[in-house]
Amino acid sequence: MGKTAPLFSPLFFPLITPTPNKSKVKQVILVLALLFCLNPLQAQFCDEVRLSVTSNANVDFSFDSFGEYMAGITQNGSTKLKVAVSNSINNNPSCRWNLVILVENASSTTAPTEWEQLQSNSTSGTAPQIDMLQLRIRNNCNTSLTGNQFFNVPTTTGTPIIVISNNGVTTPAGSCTTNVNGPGNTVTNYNEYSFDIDYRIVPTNGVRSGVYQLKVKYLLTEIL
Amino acid sequence: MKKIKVLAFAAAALLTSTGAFAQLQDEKDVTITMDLQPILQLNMSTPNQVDFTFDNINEYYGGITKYGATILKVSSTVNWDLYAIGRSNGNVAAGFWDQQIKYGTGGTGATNRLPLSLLELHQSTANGNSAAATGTYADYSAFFPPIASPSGSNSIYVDPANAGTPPNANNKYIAGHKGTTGVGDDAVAGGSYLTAAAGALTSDYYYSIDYRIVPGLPAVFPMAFSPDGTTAQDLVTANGAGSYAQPGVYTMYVQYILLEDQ
Repeated sequence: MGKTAPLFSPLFFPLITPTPNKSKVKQVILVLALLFCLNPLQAQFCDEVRLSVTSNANVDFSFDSFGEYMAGITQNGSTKLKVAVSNSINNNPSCRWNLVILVENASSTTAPTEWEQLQSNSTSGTAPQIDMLQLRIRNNCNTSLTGNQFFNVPTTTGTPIIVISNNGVTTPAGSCTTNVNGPGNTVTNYNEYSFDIDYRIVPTNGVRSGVYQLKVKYLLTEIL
Repeated sequence: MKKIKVLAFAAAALLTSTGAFAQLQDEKDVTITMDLQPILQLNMSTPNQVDFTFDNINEYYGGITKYGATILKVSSTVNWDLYAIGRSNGNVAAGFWDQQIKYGTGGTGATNRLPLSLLELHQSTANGNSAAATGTYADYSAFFPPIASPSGSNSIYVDPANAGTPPNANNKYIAGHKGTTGVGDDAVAGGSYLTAAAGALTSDYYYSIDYRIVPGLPAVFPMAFSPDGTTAQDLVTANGAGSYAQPGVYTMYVQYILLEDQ
């Protein structure tokens, strides 16, 4: 289930003074009205957004032959994502969602463009770069904005990869086109709300041998 | 005052309740682990036995050359060095050919102490990654020297203690060199003869090795030199005037060592 972030308005408190008068009361009412006007910007349009992973949370690549270094290793369908977004309670037509991938090296001591090193076998060669990792996101309706081909992830840790975007337009379930972002789930629209993630790594020669790690974060968010 | 307080509480309650309507989100993480193991492959596609038979005077004078007797192909995922080292079992002494059989004693001055460095090598492609080398000869790319002008440019590197110690910065490497300064200075970048852009025959990942032995007459092996190629080790220099090789069958072996840049 999704998380909630508490809201707080510091504007409110300075208006309470020990010597109230009519104008102060009016001021307070005005500010409150303003706050309520702004409030819809932070309202919740969906009842639930849920992201499930039905596969192993670890994807391991082991390069122990020259052929693997040259051709790379591809792991198809290693991660299966299922999206469920519901507005069945409030029936708000503005319920939309986006899906973002963040590839992170999860270490403050690692350069932002490199894999996190867990173990070193060598001192020679260059550190592997994050963009050595390739991803392919696919489903039967090809809804991902990344297309259905492999692409190199961004060079810097934490740079978002937009899979389903907040483009201000609701593309409803059943459209079977790119960027389907309305309420729905894999039970009713499997081809739009499930995503198979393929991973590929093609190491470069001269890369420093060792054991390295990256974290791939899948983030499903309601669009407000 | 009371009104204000009521309003304040009401507003606070409302604003607090709006917290429940914050943006919904969900997150899942997948960990990618990559194990990059160093791969070093040295492929020798030629016979591992090279025979030299000296049975006429011309061969003693001019020596015998075996062109392209060894082909070396390298594939490596890490930066690397390649060197050759002459070795034997040391049944005569460390640093000398093994004598398997002798054809008589050979008379006065005959010795069975033939230095391993009498074997000469020539590599087809020069060592382009040896800028850090400090010796007279960084590799075996020089043409075999004329018989009349003995030189250590091609004599094989030998560890005098026969312990297999790698050559130092003054000695010869086929590719790369001693030290870890970097590619070009003392290392060849990871790669393979299969994908070498310059073409396999002239790339840093493919070497055709020629061998030569020049006994000379008398058989003193004038091309034998110290590991740095500057001090003669022919039989006269090593053993005194009148020395020459005792007739017989001798063996040694050449190790080609491919290793991660060191």
